[in-house]
Amino acid sequence: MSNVRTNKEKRERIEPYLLILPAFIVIGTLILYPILRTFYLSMMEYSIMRPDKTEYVGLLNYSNLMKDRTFVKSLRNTFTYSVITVFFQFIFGLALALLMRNMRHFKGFYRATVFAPWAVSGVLTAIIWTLMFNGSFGVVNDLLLRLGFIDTGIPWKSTPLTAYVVVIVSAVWRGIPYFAISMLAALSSFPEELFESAKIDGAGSIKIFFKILLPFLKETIILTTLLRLIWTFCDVDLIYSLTAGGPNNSTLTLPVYITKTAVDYMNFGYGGALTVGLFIILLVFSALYMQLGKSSGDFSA
Amino acid sequence: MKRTIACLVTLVMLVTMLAACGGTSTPQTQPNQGASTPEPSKSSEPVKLTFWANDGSPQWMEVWNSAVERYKAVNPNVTIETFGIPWDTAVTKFTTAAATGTLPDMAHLAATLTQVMMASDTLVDLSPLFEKYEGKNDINQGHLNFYYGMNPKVKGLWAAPMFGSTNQIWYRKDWFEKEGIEFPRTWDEFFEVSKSMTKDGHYGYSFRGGSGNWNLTLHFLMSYTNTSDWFADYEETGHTFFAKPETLEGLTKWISIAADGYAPPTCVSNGYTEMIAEFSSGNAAMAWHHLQSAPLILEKLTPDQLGYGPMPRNSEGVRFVSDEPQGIAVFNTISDENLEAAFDFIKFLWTPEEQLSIVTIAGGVPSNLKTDVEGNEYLKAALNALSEENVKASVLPFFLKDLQRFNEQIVTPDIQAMILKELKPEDALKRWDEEAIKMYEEYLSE
Repeated sequence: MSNVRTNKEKRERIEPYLLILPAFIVIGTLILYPILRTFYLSMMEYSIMRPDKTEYVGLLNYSNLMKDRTFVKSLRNTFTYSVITVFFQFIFGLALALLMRNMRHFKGFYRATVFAPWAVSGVLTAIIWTLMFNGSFGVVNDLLLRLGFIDTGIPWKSTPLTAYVVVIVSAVWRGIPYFAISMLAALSSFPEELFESAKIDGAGSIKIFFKILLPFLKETIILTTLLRLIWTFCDVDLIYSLTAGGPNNSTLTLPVYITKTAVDYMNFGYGGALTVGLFIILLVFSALYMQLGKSSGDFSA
Repeated sequence: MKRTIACLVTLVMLVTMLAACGGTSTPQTQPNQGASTPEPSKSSEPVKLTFWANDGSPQWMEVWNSAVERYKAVNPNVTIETFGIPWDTAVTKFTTAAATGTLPDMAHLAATLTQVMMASDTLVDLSPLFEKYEGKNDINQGHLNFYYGMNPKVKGLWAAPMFGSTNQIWYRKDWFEKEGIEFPRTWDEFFEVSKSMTKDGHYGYSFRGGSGNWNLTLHFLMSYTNTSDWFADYEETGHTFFAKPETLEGLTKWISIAADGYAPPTCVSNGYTEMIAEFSSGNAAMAWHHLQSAPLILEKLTPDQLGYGPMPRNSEGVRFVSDEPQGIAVFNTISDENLEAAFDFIKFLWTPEEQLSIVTIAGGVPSNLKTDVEGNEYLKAALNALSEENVKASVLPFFLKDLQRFNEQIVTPDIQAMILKELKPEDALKRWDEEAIKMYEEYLSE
């Protein structure tokens, strides 16, 4: 009797491990191994273009990283790009969500229209905006010329500032639906009686927005902006297809720099060190952000 | 005695068995390493070859697919599978294939890519086969020398030259005639014309400031400073030609075209396609490119509008012409049987008829000197420009293993920074000099 119980206990103890084993194998193969391999490569001089120079170099790639002006520039670009982009995506997304919440007719149509840019890939977005911002025949220049704001077409992708504008506008356009839908979903559970009682107490629209709506949406805002910041931080396809980081690295973000180093130039050693750098930055950033979210209380505090 | 005989018999049997075992190994798995090219043997057995084109544009694929079709008609046992790779990603694709052992049997490679693949020890030296080729005297010696000189330490024919990417200046003949301006014969005239033709809503010169900007800039600097060898003064001064005062003078003038408004404002990000589009759509009066851009330009401009002239001469009266050949390279993973078939296909592509077909569709000066180009005016003009006096070949130091990295990761962004006035030419040249010295010293130490 006790033997049977012991076997059953053993089986029950092993069973959970057996059940998670397939998932562990998949995660280990597709996530853990590449991460560990990246750490390993970051300590190698390893370029497919120069296989004869492959050797272990310890922390040399990291010490070169500290002296690399392009790395510093790309890091600065990544921060400004992520913050500006996510800020505008959130503002426009929230505004659209509030508008859609109050709509009485054609709700499905508007929601589908607002969501459309989210379904467009980064490369396709880049093509659309490249054509829109084309210096010779683009619709943006045409519009500005017709409205009399400019006398000659702006070569949008050819100066650092305008190229940056092109990248930001394209990224904002693509990311708005994410916030619009997330905020709309959160707003759908907002208790109407809170609005009514606030109105009865004499609160105006601005007060209701800042004192009731934003605190209510706080958790959603933290989660969505955190996720979106991390995604935007890692954006490659859009910037790479739009400007490839140019001109003169003015739109080069860290992930694009990694792509160019590791994929275009096949320098996996230095590319690995850059990737580890990005990994650590994102880890620290996420921890700080979550901590900030926990300790900040609500927005009205 | 019996024991000795028995031992000998056993030994002979063992050797025979081992030899027999060796004979069963498939030749497909034996890579041909570098200069030790095996003797080809003609066969009528079915052969399947894989062929990659480093420029998979429709224009190029038409060249190769039509040639393969004609070859198949006379060699029904040979099947050649062609595969086009987008030019922008060609280096990545080929180097990845080299690292993963998935290279094709042969490929059409531009000069820069040939250098990259040679540096990674993946190419077959075709010289032993070429020496036996009956038509070898008809092949342009300059094109052959380009490959032989690619690695001065291991001379080899790293690709079979098909045509030269000869450079020339394309210009708007109608605009020049209207303004009464002569085609520029020297670099100083070229700069003047770039300025004087910037009027009426168009620009003097279609500057290439985006991807590939290093190519024209480096060739220009070599021509302007009358330099054939970057490292001619290295032993004496410890520096390259980038440190010479005339190089700074030339680079300053060159960048000034783009930075001071004599080129379309978009030029800082213009690659090959955009550069040619600016010219052929009437936005610039001149463009400098090799003959391969001819089909694209001829699509847009009529003979009354389009003029072409040779590269300008420098202050010493010397014309530098970049005539880098493009060719067919064979990879050392090829089997003996396929090597025979691959070289046979190369010989087919060397016939004057095929050569004419290639250069008519894709542009370029044919490598077979017997090719009749009488009906092609711009090709004739390019050949004449090459045969004039005081003409030197402008060849980049392809023997430097990191040349591609230097060109794309250092020179390219620096040119953009100079156009945007974020970097001074003297600072760029200082960096280029330091980097070139590093590459050269690595080469010397090997």
